[in-house]
Amino acid sequence: MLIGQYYIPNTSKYEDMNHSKDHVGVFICHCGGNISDIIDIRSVKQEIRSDNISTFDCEYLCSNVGQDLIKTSIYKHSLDKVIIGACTPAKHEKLFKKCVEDAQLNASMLEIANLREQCSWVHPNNLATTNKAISLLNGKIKRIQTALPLIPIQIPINPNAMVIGGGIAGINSALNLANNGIHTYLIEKEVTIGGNSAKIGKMFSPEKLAEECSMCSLSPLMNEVGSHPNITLITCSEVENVNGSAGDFRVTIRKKPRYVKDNCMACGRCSKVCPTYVENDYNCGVKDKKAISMRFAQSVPQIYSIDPDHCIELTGGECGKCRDICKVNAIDFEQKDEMIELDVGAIVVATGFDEYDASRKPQYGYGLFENVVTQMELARILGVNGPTLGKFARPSDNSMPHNIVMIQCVGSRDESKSGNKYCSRYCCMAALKHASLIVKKYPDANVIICYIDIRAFGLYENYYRAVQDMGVSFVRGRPAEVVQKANHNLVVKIEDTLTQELKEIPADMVVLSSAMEASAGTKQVANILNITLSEDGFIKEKHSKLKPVDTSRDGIFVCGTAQSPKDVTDTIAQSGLAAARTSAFISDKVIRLDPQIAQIERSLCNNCDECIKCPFEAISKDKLGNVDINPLVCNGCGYCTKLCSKDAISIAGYKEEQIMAEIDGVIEKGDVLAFLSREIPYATADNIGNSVAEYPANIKIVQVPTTTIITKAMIEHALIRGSQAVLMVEEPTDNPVGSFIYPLALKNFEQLKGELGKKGARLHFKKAYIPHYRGLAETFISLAQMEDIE
Amino acid sequence: MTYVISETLSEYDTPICDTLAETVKKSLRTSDTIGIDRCLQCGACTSSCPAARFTDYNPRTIVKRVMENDISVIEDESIWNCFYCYTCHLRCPRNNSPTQIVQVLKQMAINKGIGLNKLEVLFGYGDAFSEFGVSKIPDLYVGQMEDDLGIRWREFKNNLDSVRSELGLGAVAVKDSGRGEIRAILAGIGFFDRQDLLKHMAKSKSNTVDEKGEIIK
Repeated sequence: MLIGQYYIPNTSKYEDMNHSKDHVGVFICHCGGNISDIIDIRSVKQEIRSDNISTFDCEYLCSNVGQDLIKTSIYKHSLDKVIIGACTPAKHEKLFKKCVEDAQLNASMLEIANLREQCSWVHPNNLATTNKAISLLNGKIKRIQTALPLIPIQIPINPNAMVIGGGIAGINSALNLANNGIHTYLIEKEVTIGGNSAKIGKMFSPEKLAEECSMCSLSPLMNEVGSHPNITLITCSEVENVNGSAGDFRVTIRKKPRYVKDNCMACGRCSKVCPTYVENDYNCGVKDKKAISMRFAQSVPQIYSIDPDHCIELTGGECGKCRDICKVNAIDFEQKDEMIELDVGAIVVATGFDEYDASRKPQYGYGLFENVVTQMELARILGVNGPTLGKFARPSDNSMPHNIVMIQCVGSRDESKSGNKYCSRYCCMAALKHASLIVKKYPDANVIICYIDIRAFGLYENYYRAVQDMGVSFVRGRPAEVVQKANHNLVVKIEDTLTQELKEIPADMVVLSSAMEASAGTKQVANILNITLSEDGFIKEKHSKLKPVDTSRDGIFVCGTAQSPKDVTDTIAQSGLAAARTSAFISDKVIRLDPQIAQIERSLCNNCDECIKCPFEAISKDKLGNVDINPLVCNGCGYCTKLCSKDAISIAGYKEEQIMAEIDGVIEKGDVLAFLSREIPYATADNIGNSVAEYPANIKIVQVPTTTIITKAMIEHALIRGSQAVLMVEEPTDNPVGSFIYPLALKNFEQLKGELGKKGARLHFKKAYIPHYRGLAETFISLAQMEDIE
Repeated sequence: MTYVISETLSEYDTPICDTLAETVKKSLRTSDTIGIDRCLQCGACTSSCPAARFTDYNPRTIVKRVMENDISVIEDESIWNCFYCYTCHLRCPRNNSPTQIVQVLKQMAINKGIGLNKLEVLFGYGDAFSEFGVSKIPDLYVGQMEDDLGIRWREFKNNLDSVRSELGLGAVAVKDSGRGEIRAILAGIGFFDRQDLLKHMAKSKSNTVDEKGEIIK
């Protein structure tokens, strides 16, 4: 059955079946003695065997022999359902599910009783261990009688990808994706791709100890992007809106007019006749550009564009000189904003950095004194295509500076309000590179680098040593201030902290190594995509070590300086990884989702809208006003089941009657029932077993999605069955589910405690942390003992 | 010399702790967020410091000695050269504040009877406060100010009221009723007791005080 775009399991044909007549096969694993040395498997089998329950055992169920036993037994004995008594489901659940699926059974016709981590390992010297194993298996037998087949939800993935940002990270990502056969849209807000890396004249090589032309590396890549059959390059464009979810995003793009049509031949006649000079952002604000221009000679696409804020014609005047001279009629003053809608399966965010505004440190005089520049501005001054055409000259009088002082960590490693706490990672090497370029070309020049620590990690140390050998000086200290003297000459005041000398260093030019900050575009795009930023303003990765390019949203990846400050080398590496992750995601073709999520029975729903309070925003109303659950967002926590007064919502595989059935089978007089949420708390209990700790055998664990699904009826049922106490263990707040669920679970616990009245004293609540398994074991022990005394 | 810290005096401004850095952090005189543990000895404080420019005072090394728990730092005469311009406080990239640290160190020195001769010249501030309700430059410094800043400074000082009225500001002096209020506040917080004790200590040959802040004869 297909509802909307999602597959919903068709369960109708199972509904008339009498489940108690189903033939159940129970397979018990010896685990090479880990289970069979403690638990008397023969008496377990005797105890649970009946007309419609067959029992089997095997040395290792996870081995090929064990798997074959399961598969052939299903055929041979016409088993309808399978129970496995073995190690924790966290270990081999997938394997056993595949086994039963291979034998043509639905995967939800399998239940696993945890006979190792939560039985034989934690009660090794206890005669009651065998009895506990029997009760755990009985619980699963009763539970599986209520089970309905579930079909995994499958969602097709759109085969196209989108890369936002056309700097070196975006270029590399897009090329990697395109070369992998994935059609990729590359969105760039400027008139050309290239980004910040197009501004850097030279890149350093730590092997060759030399500087190489960066445009010579970048330009071929840019041209490849421009001509690649799998890349659609969309410049002058910004992402305005994103709908949908992983595998199926709809992105709205606003394309701004360039006022020059695509048939532009880039002959440059228009620029020659244009009468208006404007500030050149590419050359750090020098007024050397016309109102119609190309950003730089190697721009991709090779199309001129008009600056609408300064063009005489576009600001209401009369000019039109460019239009008149253009031989291909490419000038079009009538162009308007254009909205483009694109469907993509995955997105790579490569929105880059902005240079820190050094005028926020007024003591260094940036913006006040002409000869105080930033490293990026120095890169332009040293660039052959820069404002001075490669001549090393200072801004105030165009003369060549002899004494150059560089100040490191401007806006970095700075905890004051005007700075950034982090190290910007690129600036030590940029300063060394520029010092090297200057000293190599002008041996008379005297370069002093004022540093706190030189961070030339890994093989970069070789380059640092080479620059030291060139005669560049280093003074350890953070300068107090820069003072301007006559003729725009400067003095840098600093304490050399290694000699404790106060120095006043004369300088013709001061270069500030300004921090790298998350770009305004990065923050804007993160907001539109609804992905999480770190406290420093960069896009936060899912895991700093293990998932460095995954964002907080599935199907959206990040790379380059949008994720954290880094240099070109690291950016290339990371953008390649982002492409690989995106490519792997898209080539899955369909997203298979865990079916154990919320499901709604619309005939029971009275549209009270309570469930829309879902903390993960997985539930909404569709166009017809019906409750709609997004299977991509829903994690099956079960909080909505508590909100629904009509019992219209349940978690597939965790319906109330299933949990009641398990309680029925598991609990005996004097037991303590422990409801464990399925991630951290369940793993913590397993960890007690892994760590050879013990607790009494009357602790019986029942796994739940989260404790928010627990009802008064479940607890009362356990108490009637003879349970002395009931414990609810919840995900900790630092777990992605727990961060939303823990407070709601605590509220549910308090409410249940109140509703239970006097019996509420037997209800307990706790959160778990995997490394703190002893804490959970101690709780188990104290609950078991406390109830003994009673 | 006996090391006696008066508890009544030190409870808030020089609390007794395991380390000097802890005392500094807990003291009422320093900001709650003071970044002494985060100091990376970059020297931005020293290079910014006007006192370091003309004397051997070095705020960076003072902070280092505090971090190293070198108690002898309170006997270092150079700490008395800091005159609280707060430039180091402003410039420190780690939210540390050498000038606040030095205030705690000076008080610890005073508790031990060290540096009272440095303090003596400053009693004039307190006297002026209690009498006029505002502070004034100690007499000893007036001549030096004139040497440093020239006769213009004297003229400015003599014509202060007319300069202020040109700028639309009232007289600098506090009115009689206000003076009474300020005096009452000072008396209420034990300012006079403390100043009397310090003056007495400075005059006395004995340089130590006991646990209650009484002078040991």
